Amino acid sequence: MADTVTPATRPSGRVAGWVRPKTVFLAVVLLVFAVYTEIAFGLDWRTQAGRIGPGFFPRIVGVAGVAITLWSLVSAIRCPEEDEVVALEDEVGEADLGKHPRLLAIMVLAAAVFAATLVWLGAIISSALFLGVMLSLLNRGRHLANAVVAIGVPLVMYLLLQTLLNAGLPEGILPRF
Amino acid sequence: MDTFDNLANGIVAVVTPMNLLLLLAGVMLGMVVGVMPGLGPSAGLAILLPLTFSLDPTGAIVMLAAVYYGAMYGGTITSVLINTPGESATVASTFDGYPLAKQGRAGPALVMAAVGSFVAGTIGAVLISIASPATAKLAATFGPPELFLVVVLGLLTLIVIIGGNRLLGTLSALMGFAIATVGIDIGTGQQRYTFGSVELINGIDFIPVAIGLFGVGEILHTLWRGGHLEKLAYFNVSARSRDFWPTRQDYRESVGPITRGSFLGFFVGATPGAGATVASLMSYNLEKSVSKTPEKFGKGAMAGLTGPEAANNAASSGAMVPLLTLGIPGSAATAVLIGGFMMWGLQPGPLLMTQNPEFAWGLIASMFLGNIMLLLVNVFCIPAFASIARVPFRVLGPAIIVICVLGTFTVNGSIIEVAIMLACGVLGFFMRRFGLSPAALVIALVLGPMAEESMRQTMIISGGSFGIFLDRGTSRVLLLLMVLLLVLPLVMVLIKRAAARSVQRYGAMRRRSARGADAADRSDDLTTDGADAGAGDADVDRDRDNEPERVDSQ
Repeated sequence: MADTVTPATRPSGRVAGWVRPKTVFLAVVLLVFAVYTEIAFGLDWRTQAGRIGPGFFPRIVGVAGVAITLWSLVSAIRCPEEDEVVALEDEVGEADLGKHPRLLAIMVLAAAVFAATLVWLGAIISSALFLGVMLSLLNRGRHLANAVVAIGVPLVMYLLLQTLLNAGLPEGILPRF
Repeated sequence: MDTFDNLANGIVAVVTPMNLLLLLAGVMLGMVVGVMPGLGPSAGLAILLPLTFSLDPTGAIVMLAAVYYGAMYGGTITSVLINTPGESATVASTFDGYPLAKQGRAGPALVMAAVGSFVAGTIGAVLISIASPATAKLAATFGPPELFLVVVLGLLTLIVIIGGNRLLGTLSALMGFAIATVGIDIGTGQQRYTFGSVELINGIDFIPVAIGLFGVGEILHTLWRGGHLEKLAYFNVSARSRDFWPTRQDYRESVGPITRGSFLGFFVGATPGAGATVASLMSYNLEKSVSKTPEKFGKGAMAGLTGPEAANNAASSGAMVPLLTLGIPGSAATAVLIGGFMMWGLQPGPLLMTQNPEFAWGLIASMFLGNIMLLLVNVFCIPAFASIARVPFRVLGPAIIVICVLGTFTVNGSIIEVAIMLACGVLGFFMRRFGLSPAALVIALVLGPMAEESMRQTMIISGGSFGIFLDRGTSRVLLLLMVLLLVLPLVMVLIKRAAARSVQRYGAMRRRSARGADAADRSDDLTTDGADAGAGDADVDRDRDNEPERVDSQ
């Protein structure tokens, strides 16, 4: 995969704490909490009857959120080595297979397109297209197996959720069955 | 006697052909979910929740509870066969499970893990039957101030015990609280954070958030760290083989660890936030410390597998106690269950056992029956589930995204909720990557409205004075518990050191007595004709000759 970042290809120089992925993420969270808090202060703290108003909890949550995020951000900038956290189950029996941000972005984008076309194309067609694209990227060279999974999974899901449970999946361009 | 009557009524309510079928389906689906890499009980429950909407509440909760403990076991299969835990609670099972598989003992390891799970699950169900009515009776005396403090106490426990970075745990919980404030304010009817969207007036539904964080988030994280490139090396298991079944020695070695793990797991699981992962790791350390042969741990000790396995299953039963009696989820999986309760119009909490006894006792009864079913399914279907573990992530990952999207759409037929789910998936990925806790977010999302409502009622009762928390006896006790909880991390180091010292002392005593017994045996052997000398060596040789079939797949 062209997007793979293996330990060997990782840059050896350390990036400054404030431009590392974790600090960028925390900065975005801080911004969201700041907007949230600003809106919270536009809501009433107490009602005219003296009871708790709609802004009571949002203000507490917002102020606490801004404070804790700021604290976390400062800690992340001061201790950049704690940037990446490896989950407990990831530590067991797995080799470092590199990081794949481009593939991740493609998956997110494909999932967004899948969701956007779900009602228009219908559950079966949009699911099959999403699976077809992703399997052709992830499971290269196995065309028959990919085709079987891309058609089989949406069909089974449709039969289970729509035909059996009448859950209301969109039919799109195919007739309902 | 009430307990027995209620339990009997619960069993009667559950034992219908339809419910038994749902129980079987739940156990099988849970096992499949547990076996899939990256998906744990919480993801499985969130994804499968929409499937239960057409069922009656008892049938639905029976099925979901079966998925819950089925998934807890499913993770063990991958831990033993491919050294990859299905979820964090089965990490401890890899330490000795995989070495056992390497010795050609994958079959006995999986069967003993199933037996351990069964015993722990049954002990857990008995303890729930005893603990739940007593806790519910106490909780029934709670007013809004106490309920508010219990919610805060639950969150504090979660953050203090969660391990890792407490700051980021708190941040995760605050994110959950913030999401919970979206929608109409119940007290005044005013809209908050809806930005004019009709879809957001009722707030952000819990299910898309849970499916996104636990389902899509896990898949994205696995993809990012190269899960699609993994070449699985696994061991075959066949029930037809004579070596599939455990020996008497295996059972003898496992009695103590399973019993200790069951009780330890239940009480750790009943503590909000501690959960099955902590319980299984604690059990592993305990077994290693008290073992007569600690040097075997990590090299294939049966006690190192069955103890943690029992602990993680008992912890899942223990987590049901705060859920049923206080309405407080102790873990991410029980938070999803509580979301299900609310969708079926049931209010989990002190009154659940008195207002909906059939439902509450039906759930407890289903645990007894589910454990029996789980044992049978486990023992006879291990090879079938082992084959699912061989489906590579590069095929499973996209298929799970499809299941998540379609499952979310079926809840309310809303494409906005699908978008929220995907956004939460991306958020879940970043949370996992940077050490935040998706579990804390989901639990706070469930507890947020509860906290706000009980706080509002408290303020109405007190006329706006916070002094009410100090005026009531039970509130004072809860406040004291909170203070103790906050100073817990400071004294924890001392407690841990003292506990480790006493466990080591006990272990050393056992090893000394074992060495004494061995020496006595050896002196006895010298006086006999030595007819059976070397039998142990022959066993070892037989084990060595018994090379497992290891298969590498692309």
